[in-house]
Amino acid sequence: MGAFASRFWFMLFPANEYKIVVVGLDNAGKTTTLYKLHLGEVVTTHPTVGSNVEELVYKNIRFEVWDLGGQDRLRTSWATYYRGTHAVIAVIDSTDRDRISIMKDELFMLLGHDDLQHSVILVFANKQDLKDAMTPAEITDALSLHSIKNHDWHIQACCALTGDGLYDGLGWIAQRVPGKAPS
Amino acid sequence: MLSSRSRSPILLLFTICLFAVSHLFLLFSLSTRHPSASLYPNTNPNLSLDPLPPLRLQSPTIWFVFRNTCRDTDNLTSDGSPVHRLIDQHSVDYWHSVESVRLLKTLETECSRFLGAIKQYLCLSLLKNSSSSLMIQLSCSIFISLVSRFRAGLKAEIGVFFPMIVLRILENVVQPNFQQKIIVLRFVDKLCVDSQILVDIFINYDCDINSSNIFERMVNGLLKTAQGAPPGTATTLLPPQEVTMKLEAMKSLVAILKSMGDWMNKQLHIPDPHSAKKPDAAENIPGPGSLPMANGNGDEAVEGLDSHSETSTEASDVSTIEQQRAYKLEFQEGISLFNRNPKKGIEFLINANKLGNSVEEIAAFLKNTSGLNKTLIGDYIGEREDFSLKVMHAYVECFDFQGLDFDEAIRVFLQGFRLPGEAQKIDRIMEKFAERYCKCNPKVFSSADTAYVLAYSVILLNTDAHKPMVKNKMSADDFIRNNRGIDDGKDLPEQYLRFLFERISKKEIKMKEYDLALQQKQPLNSKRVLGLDSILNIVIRKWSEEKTYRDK
Repeated sequence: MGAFASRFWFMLFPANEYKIVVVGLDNAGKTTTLYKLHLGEVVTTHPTVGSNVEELVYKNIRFEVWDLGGQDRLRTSWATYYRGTHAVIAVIDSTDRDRISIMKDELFMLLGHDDLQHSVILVFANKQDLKDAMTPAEITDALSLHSIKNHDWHIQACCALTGDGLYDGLGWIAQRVPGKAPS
Repeated sequence: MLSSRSRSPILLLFTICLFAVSHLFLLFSLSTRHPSASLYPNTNPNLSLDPLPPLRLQSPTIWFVFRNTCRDTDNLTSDGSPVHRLIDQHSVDYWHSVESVRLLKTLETECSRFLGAIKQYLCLSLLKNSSSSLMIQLSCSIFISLVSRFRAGLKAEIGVFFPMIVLRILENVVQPNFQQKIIVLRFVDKLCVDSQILVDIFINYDCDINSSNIFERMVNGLLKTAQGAPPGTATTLLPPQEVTMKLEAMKSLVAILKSMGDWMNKQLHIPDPHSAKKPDAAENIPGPGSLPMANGNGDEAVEGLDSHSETSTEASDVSTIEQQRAYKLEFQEGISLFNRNPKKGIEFLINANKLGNSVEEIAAFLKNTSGLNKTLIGDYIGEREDFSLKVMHAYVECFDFQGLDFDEAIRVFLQGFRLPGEAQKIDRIMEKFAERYCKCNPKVFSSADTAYVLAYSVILLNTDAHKPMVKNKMSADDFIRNNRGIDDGKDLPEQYLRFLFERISKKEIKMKEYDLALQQKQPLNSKRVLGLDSILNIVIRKWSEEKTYRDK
């Protein structure tokens, strides 16, 4: 039902540009993911002081990807920054069994947020190249993804270092947001 | 406050008035032959003991003219429009002023005061004009007279201007501007006329841990210029220009060598330290007699020092200077290591006894050392490891935010390093910042938590407003909405948030640009002058204070 709602929402409000927010704990691989997804050279003639924001174009859709972390103590205030977000990417360190429950709490807190009612959720099960990595199925259970009713979600195994799986994940988002070629 | 566009004609008018008034005063004082002491606020009461009345009579006025000339040129370039027409006229005035100051140097009491004027006005004027390519010739000619006559009192200033005026052009090998380069090469030739200048530069900058290696960089720049651009790169020069430039650079190198040879000869012929002492060598520039001699003459110099025990305390020992140089080189190795791997660099410096291993000392090192890559400082203090965290805390504790507005405090704080873009790192650093801010200003926010959330919010606003890839910008209302309920469930005053929004969106939070440009140009060789920022700050603050005073 949630999936239908968000699809309906995007049909009503199609856009050429989508805002994606990347969340995840320290060391989960957010920055690597961001840089790997980012196409072409990183041009930093005048780096702005502030959060990492990358621009990427995939299948004629422009994505604006913000690193908003998901702090140790998530506050409602900057969560308001999620306004206008079309998709949330949660990057998970598949080897970090200890902190997966923290991530679960944060994810559900995030999903309850008003400004994210219409966004889709993509979970990147990162670091799949490492030996003791949890499988996507394990992570799905650990995060209780099946209990998400109001959002369209998807889990994607990936390795941010090599880039494996990243574009498959992005492709899923692109399917969910009916973009048009930017004019 | 008026906008800059509407202000410029008024300023221009004002400066013209000032100029006219100053000339009137000049006429007045010349005709009446009375010292107009009231013109001059810092008049020294001991002045009346001076045995040379005619010079003294004019000195306050010359001082006044000098100051106003400098101010005029400031304003002209900041307006950016009528520079061309007025440059010639002002260069004459400039020369006049510099020459008159030189005349006054005979009077020691006057000298110090004019040095103050040079520091405050002329240097500011140079600072503002050195960026303009039109002014390069004039800047060079003023600068050479500063170096040759006033270097004793202007160590910090020359340390700033040398890289800005000379080295910037000299080190630009790939896309040089022919005319500028030739002007600078001429400048180097002039410098070589007095070999003592070269020696003083080496002793005062290359052997000083707190200064940039000016001599080394100058020679390296000349070498690179003489070699020309590496093959395969496109240059902007015509072939004959390139040949001329290479030849000129070679000539300059030869001139330096010759000058050094002359100096050596002079030292060998006149080994007595006292007869060689120059009158304008002040305490911070060792006189020629006390300088180290590289080839075998060192023993003699040490002997000379021993025989005059009262001067030996002032004079710098050869070995001390050599030690200083060695210390500096090792320290710089640590810095360049830091710029590749911060942890290894710090380890190296601690092992080499260049740095204490307490978090406070490391924090002070990060905060005060020049030449460190600011991105890497940010990465280092943003780490989640225990030790880095402690260093970060000590680093933040170094700041005093008392009396600063919240956004001003953030600006001051973020000038020294590049805030990492990762959310958790921003979070940790800004949380500590907020705690420190509230400690310094206990009355501003109800709790440190409020300040912390607002600080993060401000960083997001800065990202939103100034990152070019962010297409849909936040409005003031959005910003206010984002910060709803952050003050323990209550809202901060809307007016305050709106004010904050305006300030951040109009003026981006950023690091010092000069450092940034320097770091990009020479990632491994960025040996800036220590405390350059503070010098710039002093000069700029002085200027702005004065400006606000004048605007009133």
